[in-house]
Amino acid sequence: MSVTGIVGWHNIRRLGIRVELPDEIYSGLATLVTVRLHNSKRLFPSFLLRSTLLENSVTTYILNGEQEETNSFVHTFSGRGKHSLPSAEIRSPFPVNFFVRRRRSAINRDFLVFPSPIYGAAGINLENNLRKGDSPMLRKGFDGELARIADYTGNEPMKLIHWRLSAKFDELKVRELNSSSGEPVMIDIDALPGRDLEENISLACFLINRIMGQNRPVGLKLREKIIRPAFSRGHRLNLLTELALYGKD
Amino acid sequence: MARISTLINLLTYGIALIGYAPLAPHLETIPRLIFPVSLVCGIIADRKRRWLTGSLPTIVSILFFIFYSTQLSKANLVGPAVNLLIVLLSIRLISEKKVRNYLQIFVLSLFSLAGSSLFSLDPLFLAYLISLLFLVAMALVILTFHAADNDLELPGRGMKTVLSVALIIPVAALPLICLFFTILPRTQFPLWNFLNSAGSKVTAFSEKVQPGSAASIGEVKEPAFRVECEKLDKERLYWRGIVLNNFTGNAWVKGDLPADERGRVAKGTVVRQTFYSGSGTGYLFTLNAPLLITGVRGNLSGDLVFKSPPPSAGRMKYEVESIPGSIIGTTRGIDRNYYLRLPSSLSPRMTSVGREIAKKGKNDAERVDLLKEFYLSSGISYATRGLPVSSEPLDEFLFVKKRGNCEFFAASFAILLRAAGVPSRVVGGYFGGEYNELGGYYLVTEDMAHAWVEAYLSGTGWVTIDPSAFSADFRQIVGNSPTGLAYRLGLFLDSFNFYWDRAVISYDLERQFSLVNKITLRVRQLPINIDYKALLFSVAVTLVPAVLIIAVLRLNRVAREERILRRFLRILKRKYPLEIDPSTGILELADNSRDPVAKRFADVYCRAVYSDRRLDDDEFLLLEDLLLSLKSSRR
Repeated sequence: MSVTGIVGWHNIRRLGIRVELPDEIYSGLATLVTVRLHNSKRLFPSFLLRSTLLENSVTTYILNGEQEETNSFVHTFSGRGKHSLPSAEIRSPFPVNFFVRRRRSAINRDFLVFPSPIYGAAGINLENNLRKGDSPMLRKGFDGELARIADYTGNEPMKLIHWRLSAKFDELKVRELNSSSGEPVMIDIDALPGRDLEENISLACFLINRIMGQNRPVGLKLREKIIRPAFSRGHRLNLLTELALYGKD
Repeated sequence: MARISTLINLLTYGIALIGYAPLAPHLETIPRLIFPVSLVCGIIADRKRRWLTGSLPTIVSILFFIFYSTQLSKANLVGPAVNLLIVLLSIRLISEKKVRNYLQIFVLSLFSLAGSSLFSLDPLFLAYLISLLFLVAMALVILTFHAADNDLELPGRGMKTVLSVALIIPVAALPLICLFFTILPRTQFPLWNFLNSAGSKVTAFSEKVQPGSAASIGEVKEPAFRVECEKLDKERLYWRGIVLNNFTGNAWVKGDLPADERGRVAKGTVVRQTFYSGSGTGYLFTLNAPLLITGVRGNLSGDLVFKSPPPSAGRMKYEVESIPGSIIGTTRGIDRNYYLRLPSSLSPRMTSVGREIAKKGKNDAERVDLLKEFYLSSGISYATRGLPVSSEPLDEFLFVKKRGNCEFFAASFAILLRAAGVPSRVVGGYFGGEYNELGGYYLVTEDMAHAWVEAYLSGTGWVTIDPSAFSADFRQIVGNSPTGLAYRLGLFLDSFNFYWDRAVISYDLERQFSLVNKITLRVRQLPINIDYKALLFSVAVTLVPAVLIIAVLRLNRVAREERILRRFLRILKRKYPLEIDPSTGILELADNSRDPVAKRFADVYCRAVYSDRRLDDDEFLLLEDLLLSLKSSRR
């Protein structure tokens, strides 16, 4: 009995859990959580470990010394704002099934959950104006991709003249390029048609992702706070963070 | 890949076999046959995953339980119980095996093995016990995996790891078992002894000598006891057990000893003996004639017989000092009338032989010699079969059949001595013994049970006379030791039994006490002439440096916080070309590295240490974990 007690105690010692979360976690959307269980013991393996985190359990049958095992599960976080995972529970019936030993392993992981990106409830249908195959957001510009070959009108800069084609057609042809960024959009949280603030925040979250997905710079007006439109991933995450924390401080 | 369920099944078969094997010779035919059949069927059932299910196994078990319950009685307790155990074990083997069913098989096997110890407790039991211990400990570990997942398969290496850890548990437990065996107190008498009904062991030694009760004497080669002592002359190997001083007409029995009789052994060379025996009758055997007995609470009676207070004391060990072949003197003489009493129903022929000798002999010694001559001239032969059985067996032995065993010789000789006016008594015990050179002990078996006579010669004392020696062929029958390979091999194997007896069975509370006493005595015997100044000086000389060393160590002791910080800085320095200035704070350093893991480490570390508390275990683990990932992550 005493030997099994010592073995069981040693089995569950020096185990660490690390949790990996994606950069963007949205409230109400299924998110992949990756759990890395690490055995810091140099020589001794650990057996039959059941790690429980966020009501999800994963079983590891053997974890050799100084090795790590990765398991993943899908979890849906609810509620925007700061969340934290203080610890996970590791339990094991090893070596004999009469007693189950358990211990809590610290994780101390703080992370942000963005608002749930919904739009249906607000009654907005952004798809209405679009026909299949259209790309209405694209405008003529000078820094984007090649959109088409057009006749020279006399207004285009010399660098856009396609000399090889011009020689072939006996008239000047120019390259018509897209503009790489669309028209900037400013989202005013109070001007959105949601029923309450939370719905407006969710809607704003959806719009930010949607509009920036169409290469248009987005800005945000949160009552007194105004964030100028810009277009970058960092900017988008910044806007989502503002939304996640809005009214929570 | 290896299946855990296959492994657990294999272990279970092994465990069940170990439970069954030592019991098999003692089982009734049905359980003895049921088990192997069930084992084979169980193996097939496990392979095909089709077992006996539902209530059928339970009903069959209950029926067998009722059957064997009816056979239970106070005299027959063990037999039905072990038969039932094996039947239940067999039924479990062919039924569906869930986790608890495996545990039931383990428990039943353990009980069966324990039950076998009631039939025989030889060294093989130890081998079975250790094997079972190992297998059960391993099976319990494997069963834990099986409980986690019925269909678990492990790769070869994983299985090896699991098995080696499963093996570590019993190996680690062995020293503990040895320790507890040594120190745990135990009862003076085996707890299970009540289960063993009287008479389960065959002993040829009895508390009365009644010739003529059976036509033949069975010869049992069971060990009666073992005696550790020097090798002695064969003629001196008389192991005294009981003195029978009263002839009732058909048997010599032990009567009350005359109150003032005190036996006293004459001076001579002392032989020390250590006896290892299972004293079934309560009488302790000694080399004739005994001087002293130690190691057991024995009541020494005036006729030099020892009886241990409670009969059936299980296995015991005691020491005896004897002077072999000595005459037993008496301090105040004896009650001659008591030792001359005879029943009136003695046969006329025996009475006349007695009278004739009494008339011819002038003193006790001469009368004894005349009686010896009578036996030698009669041509009586020694035999264990075809013994006289009649209303007057001794008369028939002396004058008609002229054949008999030691009981006939001793009983008739003692009666004729009394008839001739010489005080006499019959002594029961054993004669002979096979000396085991390897172990340095005599093995005395039940077939060596013997009876002889003591005659009281005035002015001398009790003299040992073995009337069987006056037969034509006693020495040829009893005296020849067998030789040959099988005999020597038997002796060699018996020495294991001897050491088993010595080391395991006779190890008891008294021995534990003697161990403690020995240690205390040794400690006390240390020369203790206390010179307090010197003592104080030596204590100071030892203690002061010790205290200083501990103090310095404590000062220099690196806290784990410090240790982990050093590791962190080392890794960081190796990974990033940072100027680590002693004045740079850990947070600043982590910031400079721009490594998120380093930042996280600094964060957790500072949160604890800067709020003036030590890292708790969880934080420490987290930091260790972060260090590992810092070490392994790329720049």
